[in-house]
Amino acid sequence: MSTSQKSAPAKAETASDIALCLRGLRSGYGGIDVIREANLEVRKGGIYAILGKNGMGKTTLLKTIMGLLPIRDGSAHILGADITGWPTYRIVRCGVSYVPQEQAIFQDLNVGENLRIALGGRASFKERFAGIAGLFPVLGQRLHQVAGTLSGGEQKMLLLARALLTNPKLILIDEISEGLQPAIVGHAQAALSNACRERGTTIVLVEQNVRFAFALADRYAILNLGEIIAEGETGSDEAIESVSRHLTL
Amino acid sequence: MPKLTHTRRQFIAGAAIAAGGAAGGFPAVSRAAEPVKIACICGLSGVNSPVAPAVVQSGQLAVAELNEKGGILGRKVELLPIDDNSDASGAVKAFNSAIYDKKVNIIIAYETSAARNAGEPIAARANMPYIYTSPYEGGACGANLFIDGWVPPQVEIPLLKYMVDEKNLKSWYAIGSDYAFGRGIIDFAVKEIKSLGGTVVGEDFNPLSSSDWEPIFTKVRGEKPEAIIYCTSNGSPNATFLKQYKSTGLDLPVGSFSIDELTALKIGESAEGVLYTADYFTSLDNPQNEAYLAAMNKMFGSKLLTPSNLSVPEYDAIHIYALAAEKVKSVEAAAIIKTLPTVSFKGPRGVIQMDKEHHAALPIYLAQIQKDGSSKVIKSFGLIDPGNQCPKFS
Amino acid sequence: MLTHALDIVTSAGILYVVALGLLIIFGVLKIINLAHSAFLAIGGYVAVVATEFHVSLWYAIPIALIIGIVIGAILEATVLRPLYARPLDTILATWGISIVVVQLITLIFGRETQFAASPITGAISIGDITYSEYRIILLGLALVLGAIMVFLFQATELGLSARAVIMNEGLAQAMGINTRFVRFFTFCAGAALATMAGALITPLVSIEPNMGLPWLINAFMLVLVAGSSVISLGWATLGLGGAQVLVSTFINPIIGGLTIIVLSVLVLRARKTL
Repeated sequence: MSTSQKSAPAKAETASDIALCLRGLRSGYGGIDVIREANLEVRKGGIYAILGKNGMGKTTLLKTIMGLLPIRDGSAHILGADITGWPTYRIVRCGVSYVPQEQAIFQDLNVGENLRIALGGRASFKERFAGIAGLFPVLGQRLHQVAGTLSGGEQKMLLLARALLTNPKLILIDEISEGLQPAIVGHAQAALSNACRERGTTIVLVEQNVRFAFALADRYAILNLGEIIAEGETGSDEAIESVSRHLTL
Repeated sequence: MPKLTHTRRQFIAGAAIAAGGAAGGFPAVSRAAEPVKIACICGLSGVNSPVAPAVVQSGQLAVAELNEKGGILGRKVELLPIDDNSDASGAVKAFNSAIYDKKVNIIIAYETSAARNAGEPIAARANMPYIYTSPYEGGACGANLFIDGWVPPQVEIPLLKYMVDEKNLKSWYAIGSDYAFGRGIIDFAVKEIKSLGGTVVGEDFNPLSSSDWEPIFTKVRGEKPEAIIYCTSNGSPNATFLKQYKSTGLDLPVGSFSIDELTALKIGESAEGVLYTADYFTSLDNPQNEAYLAAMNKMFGSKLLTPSNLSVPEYDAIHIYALAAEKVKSVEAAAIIKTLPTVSFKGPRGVIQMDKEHHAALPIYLAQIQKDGSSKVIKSFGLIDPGNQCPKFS
Repeated sequence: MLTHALDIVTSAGILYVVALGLLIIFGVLKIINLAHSAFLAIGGYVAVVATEFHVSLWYAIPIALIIGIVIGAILEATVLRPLYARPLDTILATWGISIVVVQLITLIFGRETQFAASPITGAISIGDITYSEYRIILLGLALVLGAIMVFLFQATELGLSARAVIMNEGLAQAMGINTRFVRFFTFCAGAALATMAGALITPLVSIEPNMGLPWLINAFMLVLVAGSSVISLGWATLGLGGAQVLVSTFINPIIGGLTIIVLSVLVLRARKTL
C-alpha cells in the first residue's frame, strides 16, 4: 500500500477485521467545525498512531469518537457496531478504554477508587488488578494513596493501568508521552506493546511525539486541520519523509 | 359547629349561588331605583385569603337580611366582593375600581394594615365612607374612616388585668414576632404589666421567617418567670410557637394576643390552657348570635365557613350603615359620614356603636383553650373602651 | 449550659435533615434545586393527610419518602433532563416546579395553616433539666441519616459513581458511568430526602403551602458552605447552626435569624481569597 494515500481505506478488508471506522466525520465546538470529513479505518490488533501538530483536532477527534462531543455529520463504527449518537457510557461498555490528556484522573479519590471506577462493579477488582499488577508494580503499593498526590509519571501509569483493567478491545490514548521523563516513556511503551501483543488489544495513539509513536505503532495517519491527509505503515521508507514533510513545516 | 373545609372553588360556587338568589328572590325591593352598592374589599388572595371568604359570607347574610326587609330606603342592596390581594398595590386597584368604576356607595372592608393605608387616601379624596372591620394596631384616623374591630387596649388590658391581678402572676416573659403588629402589641403589654405592678424579666422577638423558638424558650427557662405573654402573627406561627412550647416541658400560664378560635381548634392539645381575649366567640350565649349562626347555616349550609371575630364585624358594619342611611334618609356620602357614629346596632357581639373617635367600644370576653382546642368563654368584661385612637375627632 | 448544648446539637440536626436533599442534588447535578422548599411542603402535607386518616407520623415519614421518589422521578424525566445542557434554565425550571407545586397544594388544601398530629409532644428529663423529646429524636434520626449517607457514598459502587460525577462528570462518562442514571437517581433521592424532612419537622412547625421557604435560604447557604460532601454538611450545620442558636440566645433572635446567612457569606468570601 502506498504512503500518502488520501482518505481511501482499502475495501478488501471485511467489517469484522475493523476495530474503528470513521466515515465523513464532522464535529466541533459552537459555530466551528474542528473535525471536517475525517475518514479512518483501524484494523483490529494493531497499534495505530494519529499524528498532528497542536490545534489540528487530535483531542477533538478522540472526544467525538467517545461520544463526549456530538457527531455533526458522518458516522463512526467501533468493532462493527454503529455507535453514532450513542452515549459515552455505552461506547465504553462495548469494550473501549479512553485515556484523556487533561483532567484524566479523579484527583481526590485514591488510586484504588480511580481504578475501581473504570470497572463500575462489572468485574472483580481483585482479579482484574492481579492481571495487570505486574506491569505497574508501583500502583499495587499505593492503592490507598490519594491520586492527586502521585507524581506526574505515576499518574500516567495509573491512567494506563485503568485503561487496561477493563480488558478493552480498543484503547484510545491522547498524548500519553507528553511531559514524561524518558524512563517513564519507556515503561509506558512496554506496557502498551505488551497489551497489544498478549491480549490482542487495538490501540489508537494520538501523538505529537513521533519517536514514541513510531516505536509503538505499525500504522500511522496525519491529521491536518480536521482531516486525515496521509496514512501509511510506520516501517516504510516513505513514512519518515511524509511525517517530517507534514509535521515540521 | 360546621367542619371548616373551604376551598377557593367551593367559595366561588357559594358566592355565585348567593348572588343568583339575591338577583331573583326579593320582589319587595323596588327595581326602578339604582341599587345601593357596598364594596366588600378584602384579601381573597394573599395572606388574608384564609379568612376573607368567611367575611364575604358574613356580608352576604347582612345584605340578604336587608333586602328581605325592603332594602335601604326602598332600594335593593348589592354586595360587591373585590379582591385587594392583601397588599398595598392590590388595594389601590381595588379602591379605584370600587369608587370610580363600580361607583359604590360605601366601602366596608376587611384588610391588612398595608392595604388599608394604601386604600384610605383614595377613599378620603373621593370622600367615600369607609368602614374598616379588621382588628388592628390602632391609630388609623380619617374623616371618612370608621372602625368596628378591636384595637390593642381592648384585648390587652382586660387579659393582663385578669392574669396579673386576679391570678396574681407578677413576673412575666414577653415574646413576639418581629413586625409592626407583634412589636406594637408586645410593647403595649410590657407597659401595661408594669403599670399593673408586675415585672417583665425578659422580652424577645423572633423574625417572621424563623420557625425555631427553642433559643427563646431556653432563655425563658433561665429567667424563671411566672407567666408568658406572646403575640406572633396570626395563624401558623401560633401553632409553631405553642407546639414547641408544649414540648419544652415548661408549664407556665400563657396569655396570647394572636390566637383565634379557629386556629386554636386546629392546634388542639398543644394550645391547651392558653388564655386570650376577643370580641366574639361562636359560643357566645345571646339571641343575636344564635339568630346569626342559624341564618348563616341556613344560607350557606355545607358551604358555610365558620364565622369568627374577623368576619362578624363585616355583618355588624353593613347593618350599621343601613341604620345610618335610614336615619338621615340618604345614602349621600357626607350625610352618611356624619351619621355613622350616631347609630348603634345590636349584633352577635353585642351593641356596637362607632362613637369613640370613629372606633367602637366592644364587649370583650376571656376564653381558655380546652384540651380539644375549643375555646371556653370563662369571663365577660362588658364593654371595653378603645382608648384615645383619634383625639382630633373627640 | 446543658440546655444550650442540646439547643445547638438538636438545631444542627434539624438543619442537617432539612438541607441534605438539597446538598446531594447540588453536588451531583450542579444545580440549586429551588423546588426543595416545595418538596418540604409536600412532606408536610403528607403528614396532614396522615393525621386526617388517623395514621401515625411514624408511618407518614416512609410514605413521604416514597412520594418524594415518585415525584422526583417524574420531574427529572419530564422537566429537568431535557434542560441539563443549560444549567441556568434548569435552575429556573426548579423554581417553576416550586411555584406549580405550591399552587397545586393551595388548590387542594387551601392556603390556610394545617396541622398534623405529633406522635410525641412532651419533654424528657436529662440530668436536672427537661428537654423536648422530639428534638432529641430528630437529632438521633439526623445522625442515623448522616451515617447512611456516608456509607452510601463511601462504600457502594453507586456512591463511588456519584462522587465521580461530582468531581468530573465528563471523565465519569468516559469511565463508563451512566451519568444520566446517576443524575436521575440522585434527583429522586434528593427529592425523597426533602419530602421526608418536610414530614419530619411537622411536629415542630405548622403546615402551609409556603412552609418550606424560610428553610430554603438557610439550607442553601449551608450547602454552599459545605460543598458537596455529606460530612462537611454535618460540620457546617453544627458550626453555623450552633452559632445561630448562640446568637439567638445571648444577643437576640432577630440577629440570630441572620447568623447563618452572614457567616456563610463570610466563609465563602474567606475561601475565595485564600
